[in-house]
This record gives sequence, C-alpha cells and structure tokens, in this order.
Amino acid sequence: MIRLTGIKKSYGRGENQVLKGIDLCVRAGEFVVVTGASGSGKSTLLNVTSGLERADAGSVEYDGRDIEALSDKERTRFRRQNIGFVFQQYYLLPHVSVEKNVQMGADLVGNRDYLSLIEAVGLLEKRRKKPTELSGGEQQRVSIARALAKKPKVLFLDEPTGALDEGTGRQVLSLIERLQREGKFTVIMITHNQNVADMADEVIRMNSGRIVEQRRNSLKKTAYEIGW
Amino acid sequence: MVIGHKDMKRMLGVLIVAACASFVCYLFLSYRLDLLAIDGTLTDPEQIAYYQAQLLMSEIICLVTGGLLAASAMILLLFCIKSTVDAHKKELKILKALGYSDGELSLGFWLFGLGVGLGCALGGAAALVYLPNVFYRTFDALPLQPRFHAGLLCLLVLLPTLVYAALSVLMAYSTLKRPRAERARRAPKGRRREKRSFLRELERATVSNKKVLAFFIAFSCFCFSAMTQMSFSMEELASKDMAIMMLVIGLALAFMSLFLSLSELVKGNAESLALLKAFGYTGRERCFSVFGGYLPFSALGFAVGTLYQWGLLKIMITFVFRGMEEVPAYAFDLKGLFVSLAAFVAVYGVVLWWYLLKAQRASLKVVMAEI
Repeated sequence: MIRLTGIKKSYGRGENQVLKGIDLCVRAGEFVVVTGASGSGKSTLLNVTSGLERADAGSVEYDGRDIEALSDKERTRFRRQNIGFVFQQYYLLPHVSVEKNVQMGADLVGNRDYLSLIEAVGLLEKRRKKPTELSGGEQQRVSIARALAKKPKVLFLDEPTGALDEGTGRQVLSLIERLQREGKFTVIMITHNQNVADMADEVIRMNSGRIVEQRRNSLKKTAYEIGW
Repeated sequence: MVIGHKDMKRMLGVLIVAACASFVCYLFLSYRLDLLAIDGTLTDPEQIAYYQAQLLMSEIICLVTGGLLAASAMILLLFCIKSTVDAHKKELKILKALGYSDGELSLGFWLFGLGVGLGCALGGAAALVYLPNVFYRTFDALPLQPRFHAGLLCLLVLLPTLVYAALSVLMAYSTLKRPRAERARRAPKGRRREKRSFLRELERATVSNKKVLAFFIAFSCFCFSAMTQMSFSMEELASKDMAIMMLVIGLALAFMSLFLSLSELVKGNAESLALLKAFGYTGRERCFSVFGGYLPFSALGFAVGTLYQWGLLKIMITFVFRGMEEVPAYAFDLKGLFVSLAAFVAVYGVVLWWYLLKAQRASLKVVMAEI
C-alpha cells in the first residue's frame, strides 16, 4: 500500500507551490489513473510518489516505510527494487539496441527472461534494431518492456499515450492492462485523456495542486471499449 | 547564421592547440632561419657539427611536434563543428525547412577558422617574446643574431586561418549532409554483444558513439606523460627554461583536452545518466557506464607518450648530435616515469572524481526539461 500524507512541493524559492497538501492512499495491485489539466501538479505528484523528487513536507509510505526519510543512496536502492517508469517521450537510450534497452531494466534485478517481455510487446523480430528505427508506438512498447523487465511492484506511467495516435494508443493501453493483470503490480498512470479513466480501479482528478475528485470505478472498461 | 558566442567557447581548445603549434613552429623555424643566416661563416669544426645538429633538430621538432599539433587542431576542429551542428539541430532544421541549402548553412562555419588564426597569432606573439629572452640564452653556443621574421609570422597566422576556415566549411557541409539519426543508425553486429551485460554494452556504445573523445582522452594522457617526462630530461639535457616550456605546453594541452572531453561526455550523456538514476542504478554503475570505456584509452595514451618522449630524445641524442663532443648521456628516466605516473594518477583521479560528482547530480526532471 502507498500512503501519501500532507505532501507539499514548491519550485523556485517557494513561491510556486505545485502540490498543496496531498493525502492519498493506493492499494497494492490497483490500476490508478490521475487526470487533470496541464499545471495541475500530476507529474510532480508522480515524481514525488515514485521517489524521483523529494517533497517539501509530508510523507510517502510504501507498506509503512517512509521514503522521504531515506538518503539519496537508499532512495536509489528503493527505486531499483520497487519502481518502474514509462514516460511520454519514451527516453530510450538511442545508441543501444531494443534488446539492450530492455536489458537495462532486467539487469537491475538479475532477470534473465527479458526476451519473453520483448516477445510479449511484439518486438522480438526487431530486438536488434536501434530505437531510432522504430515507430513511436514501438518505442513506447520497448519502454514498457524495459520498465517491466525489472519486475517492479509499482509502475508509474506519465502520459504513455500522449504522443501516440488512437490506434497505437489503444494498443499500448491494452498491453499495459494485460501485463498488469498478469503481473498483479500496482499501476499509477497520468493522462490528459479523460476516457482512459474508465479503465482504472480508482480515478483521481487534480486541479491547482489539490485532489478535487477521487472515485472508484464499479465497471472497468478495456482499452478498446473506452472512448478516445 | 546560427553560430553564436557560446559556440565560439568550444573553440577555446582549438585556439590553445593552434597557439601551441604556432609557438613551437615559429620558435624553431625562426631559429632555423637565424641559423641559415650564419651559414658559411663558421670555421671551427666543433661549431659546424653543432650548427648542423641544431639545424636538423629544428627541422625534426618542427615537423614532429608542429605536425602532431596541427593534426590535433584539425581533429579538434571537426569535433567542435559536429558538436555545434548537434547543439543547433533544431535551428538548422528550421533553416533547411525555410529553404537554406547545406552549402549556404555550412558557409557560416568559416568563423571557426578565425579561432585558429587567433590562436596562431597568440602563439606567434608568445614565441616572439620567448625567443630572444629565453631560447637564445639556452642555445648560445653559436653567434646568432635573433631577428624578427615578419613573413614567417604572417605565414604561420594567415595560412592556417585560410586552410582551417576552408576545412571548417567542408567539415560542416559533410556533417550537415549526414543527419544525426542516420549517424546513430548503425545496427549492432556480431553475437558476442548479445551476451554482454547492459552496462558493458552501454560502456561500449558510449565510446563507439563518441570515438573522437577517446582520441582526446588518449591525447590528453599522451601530452601529460610525454611532456612531463621530457621536461625532467630536458632539465639535464638542455636547461631549466626549456624544461618549463615543455611542461607548460604539455599541461596546457593535456588539461584542455581532458576538460573538453569530460565536459562533453557528461553533457552528451546527461539523459542516460539521469535515466539510469531514475531506474535505480548506483552512482558507481552510472559513472562507469559513461567513463569506464575510456580508461583503456587513457592508459594507452600514457604509454604512447612515454615511448614518444623516449624515442624523440633518443633520436636527438643518437642521430642529431652524433659526432659531437660533450654530447650529454641519455638513458630512459625510470624515476621520471614513476613521478609522472604518480602525478598522472593523482591529478586525473581528482579531475575525474569532480566530474563524477557533477554527473551524479543529474536529475531526470531537469535533464528532460532541457531536451
């Protein structure tokens, strides 16, 4: 379980408060979608929750362990053991092959079976290609395989379909949905697309650094059932 | 054009190398011209032998050291142009979209030739001061009259400026012709790579992607090793002033190349370093993935530098000064090697440690915002 209590975060000299006291609880194995307008604090919330950034105040607890109290080295170790990331712009390493990009995640936890993940995302044939030789959707699939290769307990996705067209976007979401169902890890996904919220167990809507709505979906839809 | 004053900062390295090349070439070519001016006036056989040895020495130093520095300046220039093209890829794309041709865009790069010209002028000016005040006090066995060779100085400033300006345009044209994506698009070959760990592969890919940095890191170590060891020997073979000159040139070249390479490495790999940090790779793993691949090149540079200084001094003593009386004895300076090696490990260790700290500070949020 992830529990955020009184999280505040500012940039600059404190004049730009992005998170204004966030309290949140995410149950293990759930699919959580965070929506909101640009500048509402979604990405900062993801960065703080995943341990990429420190909060100015408050605590971020994973099963009772406050990661805000950890040193930088300990936070790095924590991310290594628990967290996976998928970004809107993929951020693949351009000079190594698809296979090595996925191996980047796998080597962290000694996962030798990462080829099956490349196969699961449908890129086994293209595993020796460089990321620049792939389409946007393919690159995002590599980035998902890379994140899952380290067997994370929590997968953070920042606008994973933001740079993709509808067809490719649905494919990627369907892949995430399937892999989460199989792997039973927690997913926290940020998206502008309100329709994606229909896929989640829990939906959080943010505005001006605050959570303004939090609701549970009684009926989840698949990636091909939601609107776009 | 897209080239601004920030790009000219990259030229600092080229300027320093050009200054050193011009300094050495003006020094020894001017010395040679002054020697030729007294040709036929000498009668003492000992003086004639010394005269011929000096003539040969000036030619060898000018050719070997001047040539090496001129070649280094050319490689450095290529590196600067590639970095500038990469740094301005967005503006260049816009200009191309507006209808500018590769030829028109590359013409603006002639400015880089000015950096070479400025370096040559500074090196020549330094040689003018050094020549009568220090150099001729060391080589005082012949009745030489130091003269100002205006033509030589012009040649050493104008010719490189024009040649390197033309080279800059050609290099820029060739770089612009081949887009970055195409340069990066080389499929990995061979089966061995598949078995490598990710970090080993990243180490290899980092070196392979920036091969020119391997040259500069090796060159830096080469300069440090060759010039420090040569300066130890020079103090015994020539004079303290010559030793200091060698040391200053060597250290200036070594540190210029080192800082340039390491800055470029950290900057060029900021994205990878930040991503590795986000994924949970330790500081040590992150740094080795970027710097580790260059360690063999630094060892190689140091070893070649040791051999170069030994070979050059051996050639000087054995061939140039043969037949002369009172030729100083020369043997490989083992003590000098150890002192140089210890200084190398200590100094380069501190510089690398500083850059490692800099690299570890890279945060994904900041790095990604800059992309």
